[in-house]
Amino acid sequence: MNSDCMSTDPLPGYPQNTSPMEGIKPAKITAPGTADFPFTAGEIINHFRLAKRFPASYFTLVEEIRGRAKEFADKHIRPGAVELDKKISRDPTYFDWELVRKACPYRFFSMLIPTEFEGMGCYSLHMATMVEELAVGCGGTASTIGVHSAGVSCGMISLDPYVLEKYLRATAQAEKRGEPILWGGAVTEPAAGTDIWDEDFLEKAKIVTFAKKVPGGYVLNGRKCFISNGSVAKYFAAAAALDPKNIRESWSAFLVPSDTKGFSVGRIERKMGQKSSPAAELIFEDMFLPDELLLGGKGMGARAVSIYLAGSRGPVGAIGTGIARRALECLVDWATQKKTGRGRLIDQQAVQLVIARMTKEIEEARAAYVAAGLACDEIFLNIMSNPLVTAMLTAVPHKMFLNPTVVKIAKSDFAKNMIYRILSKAAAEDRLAQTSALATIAKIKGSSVGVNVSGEVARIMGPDSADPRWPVEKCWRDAKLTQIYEGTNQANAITLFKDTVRTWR
Amino acid sequence: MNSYYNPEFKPLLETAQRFATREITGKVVKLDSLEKPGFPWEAIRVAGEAGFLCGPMSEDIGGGALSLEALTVLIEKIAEGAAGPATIFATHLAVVRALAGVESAKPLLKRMAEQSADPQPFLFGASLPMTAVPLNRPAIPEVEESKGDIVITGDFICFPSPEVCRHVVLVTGEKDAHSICVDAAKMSPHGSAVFPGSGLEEFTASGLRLDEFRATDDEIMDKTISAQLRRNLRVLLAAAQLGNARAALRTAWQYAEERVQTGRKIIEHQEVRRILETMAEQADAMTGMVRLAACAPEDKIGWDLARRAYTFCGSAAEQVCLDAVQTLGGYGYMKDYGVEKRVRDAKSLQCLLGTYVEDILGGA
Repeated sequence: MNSDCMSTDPLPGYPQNTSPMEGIKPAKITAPGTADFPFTAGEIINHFRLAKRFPASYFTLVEEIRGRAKEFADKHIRPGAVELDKKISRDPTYFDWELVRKACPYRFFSMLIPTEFEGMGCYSLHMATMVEELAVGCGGTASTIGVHSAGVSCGMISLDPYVLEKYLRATAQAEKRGEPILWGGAVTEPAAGTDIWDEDFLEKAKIVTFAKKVPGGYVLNGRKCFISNGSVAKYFAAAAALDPKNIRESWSAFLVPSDTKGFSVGRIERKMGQKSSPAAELIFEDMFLPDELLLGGKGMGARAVSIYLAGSRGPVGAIGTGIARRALECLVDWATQKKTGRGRLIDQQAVQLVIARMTKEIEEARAAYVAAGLACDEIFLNIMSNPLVTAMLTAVPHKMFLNPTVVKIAKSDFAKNMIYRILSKAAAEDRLAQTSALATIAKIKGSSVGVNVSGEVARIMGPDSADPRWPVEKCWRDAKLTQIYEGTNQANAITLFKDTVRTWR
Repeated sequence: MNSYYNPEFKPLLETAQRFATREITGKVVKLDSLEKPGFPWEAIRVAGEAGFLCGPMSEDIGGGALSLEALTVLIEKIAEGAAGPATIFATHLAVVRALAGVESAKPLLKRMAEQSADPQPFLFGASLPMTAVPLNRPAIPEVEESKGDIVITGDFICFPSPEVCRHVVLVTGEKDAHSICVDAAKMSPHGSAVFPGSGLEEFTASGLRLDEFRATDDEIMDKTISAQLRRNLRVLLAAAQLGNARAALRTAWQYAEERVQTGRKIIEHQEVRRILETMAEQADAMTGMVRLAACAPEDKIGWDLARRAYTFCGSAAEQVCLDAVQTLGGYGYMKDYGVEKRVRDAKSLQCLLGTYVEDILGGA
């Protein structure tokens, strides 16, 4: 376990330099291994200590983002969500650009972009808080915006000045003009799903997307499937292997603009739910990408995916949490307005205890994603406060980032190694494993709560669950996807086992 | 798989399987679309020609005198093709079986038999009180007797929708309640279809709001119909859940034997194997529950078993179908393999007869 997590800050109310445990010797634990199990009470208390180290603005922003997301969901998503779901059932190619444009003033699309590049400078917990509120309005729309942020985070993790200046700043500027630019992440392939998300399985994955080094860049060939925002995003963070014989070591990430020659969108999927978030197949045919579009260094894909997942799985749990909240809200409203021969449903113990149990489940899911968000954001805050990163963001005129010589230096092996070292230091093996474990717990918990709560509410409401006033049936369809994307819950469970054992031993 | 059934049902089983393969699988699933919503008239007509629609009627009026257990086999097999058509047949057969023992209903049943192979065959629908109603409506339908007629006020669910059935049997409560058999043209749907786009698309259901609806003497049926109809419906809809879940299980198992991840077939992954085995356990438990409920006598035990079979199969089928989607991962969530429809249908079937709260409190 990383010793940095064990803050020695005095607790409020206790004299300086005096520990509340002073004089009490810790019990000697003799059972092998138990001393370091990662989720002991002491470890959970560390989340509060972690939170103490964050700037106050971090928490102010959480509340602000939550308020903005709630307003957007109430004003713009909720009123048309059921109709939009039906419309896309009839025509899966339809995408509600108008709704996305309305989100621009709320600045959801530049949330994760640093303030130095005209963004909001937010982190994983902000994103999770946002998507929970959006998912109360519609799980699909929450995914559209959440997936965009996940795509942007891939650009961020690369710490590539060229990408930051050219693509992320452009995204923030477009948002200010009210012309949203969407991002997506392209990892899953037709024959490689679960195994492509775990670096230990990569070697055996049946991957079809490969990048070949050519003078001045790379040529990509292959296919990606079920890509959220696939038919509407302008930029994708796509994973590809450079060497078919050594997939894990050569697994790399590329920034793929959708207007690149050789890029095309294949089939747009007909989905069970989350219909407002289009999923599509992406086809890469002899697609040339210049060197500048390699995100991070060659073979940094597996590491980047691990960091990315540590930040994105918590928000998936938050989407499940938001969907469950909506379903519960419907149940309370419905049960207040309906009666049976026994009287008002809300007055029945059978309903009251179900509501109490669901409330507990939702709070637990939220606590899980908050814990994951705090742990993850500590990593990101460490990356952003690294002296070299701070210098790059503040001391160098940003226009220089586009200068060919600067680009060449930034893309040099030396610079890439430096970035790799910064990432490795901030996301050290143990720290990353612990954060990944928390994110995985949040994902499994939130998605299960989403499916179980909405499913049970539908069961209680009977035929009324398909009534547009209480769109519980839609909530249930939407929630199911949260158990599948970002790695199925089973794949997440394998990761959780590996992460906890790795930290524990 | 066929060892699940009583050997005496072998001919019925084979006919039902053939019917489901030829007329339901593939053909009817295409109706599951909001672009071209449709009702499976062609499949119903073929079923009418095969005598399925008259199955429970006595042989003297052209029926096959099929027992409730035999009907569960028929419905289960049709549901393996698709749950929507199975729900239509289940409702029709539940009504026919309830009316089969009523002397005064024989002319109507004969008429149904004669018209069962029409391009739009004679179908019966069922209408039950909504189990949860707005606060300003009667919680239990109000029935007044007046000069031999009865006058009904209350909120009901009708399935299939009155637009597609010729006659509707409406019951006003659980046991010993009033029941009427009326021309569907006299019923006008209240509100939109109950399951638009969320499952059972080939099947239609609507709300009915009756305010002082007058049923004449010749439309009033014996009070025993109410209990029988509910029991038949619960057992046959449980059978539809079973067939739907078995089909989802089969798809998931087949997929797991073909899909390769991390260098081996996913069925060789212990967790996937565990999920599939749990699904099979659930399906087997559903089979037992359905058979038990179907063979039970028409008494309190039979009533309770029917209710429990419906609620148990509702939650078990939902879980089996959700697990099927999970086994297929991304492919399960998309239309390709049809399991996403299975899971939506399972949910709609589970919700069809009203709020679960009333189901679980029904025995209290």
